[in-house]
Amino acid sequence: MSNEIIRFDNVNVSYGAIQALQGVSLSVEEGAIVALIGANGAGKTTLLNALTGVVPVKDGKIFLRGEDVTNMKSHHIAARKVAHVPEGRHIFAELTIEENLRIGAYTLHKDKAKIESLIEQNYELFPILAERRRQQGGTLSGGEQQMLAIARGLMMEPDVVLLDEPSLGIAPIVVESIFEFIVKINKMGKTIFLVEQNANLALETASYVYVLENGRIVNENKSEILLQDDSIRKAYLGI
Amino acid sequence: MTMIIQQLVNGITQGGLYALLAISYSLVYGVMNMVNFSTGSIYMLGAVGSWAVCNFLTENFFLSILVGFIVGFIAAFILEKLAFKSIRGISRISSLICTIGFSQLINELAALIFGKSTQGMPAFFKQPAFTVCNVTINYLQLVLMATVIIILVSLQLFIFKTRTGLAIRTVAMDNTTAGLMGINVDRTISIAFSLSGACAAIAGVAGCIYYQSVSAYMGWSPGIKAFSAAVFGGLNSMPGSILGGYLMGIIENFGVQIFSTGYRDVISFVVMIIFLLVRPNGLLGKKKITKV
Repeated sequence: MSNEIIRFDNVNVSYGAIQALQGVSLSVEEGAIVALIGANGAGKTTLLNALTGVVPVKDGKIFLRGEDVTNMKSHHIAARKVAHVPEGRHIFAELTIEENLRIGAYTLHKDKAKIESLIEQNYELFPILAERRRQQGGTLSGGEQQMLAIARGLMMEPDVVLLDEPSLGIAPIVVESIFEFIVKINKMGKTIFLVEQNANLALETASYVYVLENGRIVNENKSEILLQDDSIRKAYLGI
Repeated sequence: MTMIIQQLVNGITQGGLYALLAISYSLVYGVMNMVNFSTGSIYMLGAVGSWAVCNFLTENFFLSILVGFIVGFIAAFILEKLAFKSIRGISRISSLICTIGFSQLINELAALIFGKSTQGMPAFFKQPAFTVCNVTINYLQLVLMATVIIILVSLQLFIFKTRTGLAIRTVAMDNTTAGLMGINVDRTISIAFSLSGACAAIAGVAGCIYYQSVSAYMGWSPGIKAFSAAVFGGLNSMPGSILGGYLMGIIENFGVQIFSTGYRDVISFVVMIIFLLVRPNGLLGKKKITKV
């Protein structure tokens, strides 16, 4: 695959004696929405964290556009236009929404005009944030915080957006609109790598899906094929 | 009345030194979640640096401050790279013990080189500036007050108006997410730590000029008292630690007046203990809210 943007090659990650990822290999094609599904504790968040330098990789290699980025520090990954929207959103609760967005644009240095125009773009995309731009991040609801976390990620003008459990702890109706945003962002030309516990949503949104169980990739395929797969239907879709 | 004004002036002058040291504590606490008990040693290094300037070069107040700044910045930079970077993330109590150890090491090294005896400092700006209610205020006190305020204001401007300052604030809030935003966390911590060292060292220069004495062990007592001042004001709040520093200076000086000089240290610790019991986050300290 020539246009793959992320590739994991036999990646192992462990926390002390516990192996969180065991020989994970996967690839994400440029411009696609690729999802990773799996139960709680399967190692999904660890997988994203390994890519962005939050946790160390023990064995194996991770490539970004063909470049070996294994165990690179987080800020170097961010500089390579990868936005990681972490699980639990991790917005800066004491800062206003606009300040949160400005931190997202940290890698753009002092390009003020660009930062202003990006802020406006994000307000257009998420009008609710524009209304509350002077409000502290911590006062937002879960769904609004998730939108802010995504918008903050978009502020660095990423090529790749890593989304960790965007539906976690959010009202179902809001989840739906967040997933609409995800598709919209993908149409803006950004590659999306989505980690999601809600297999139904992930299979609907993504074109290609990996299934992670106990730190191993146990299944992978185009989502329309996985939707027909009996084991997936039983284990993850409850049908 | 005379007594009140006299002690107020003394308290504000001394409180300025505590404020500089306290902000040094809270800067490190903010980005590293660590109480740095080697702050007092860096205070001493700044003082020794300015003593060297006055002894070997020229008796210049402003050059002394500048040298103090540089000595503190470099000492803290090396200390962080050499020692505290590798212990980041260990339990707070272990890192605290580690900083005490390094404090002892620095003090003893200084004692080896500088000697254990106390050395004098030249008198600067000793002329009286003006007299209010029979209290004579000299230029030195005014200059020290102004120096402290200029440094505190510049530090605030740096932290709230510059890109590096934004990085420091972000790392203090959430260093993992700061990294994901493209902030070089290691570099940011190094800068914040070095700046905290520079603040402590300038306090040391001001302190040794104010008391006209320098010794290898001079940092211990102000270091500890400024820590209690920072806790008093709120360790995780910069305005809080500044306020705590000034209040501590004022309370201490009035306490000395009311009780006796022998109780100087007791007073500051009693204040800290009472405060920790009544208001564990200090005057302006923020409670950490963790939202899942």
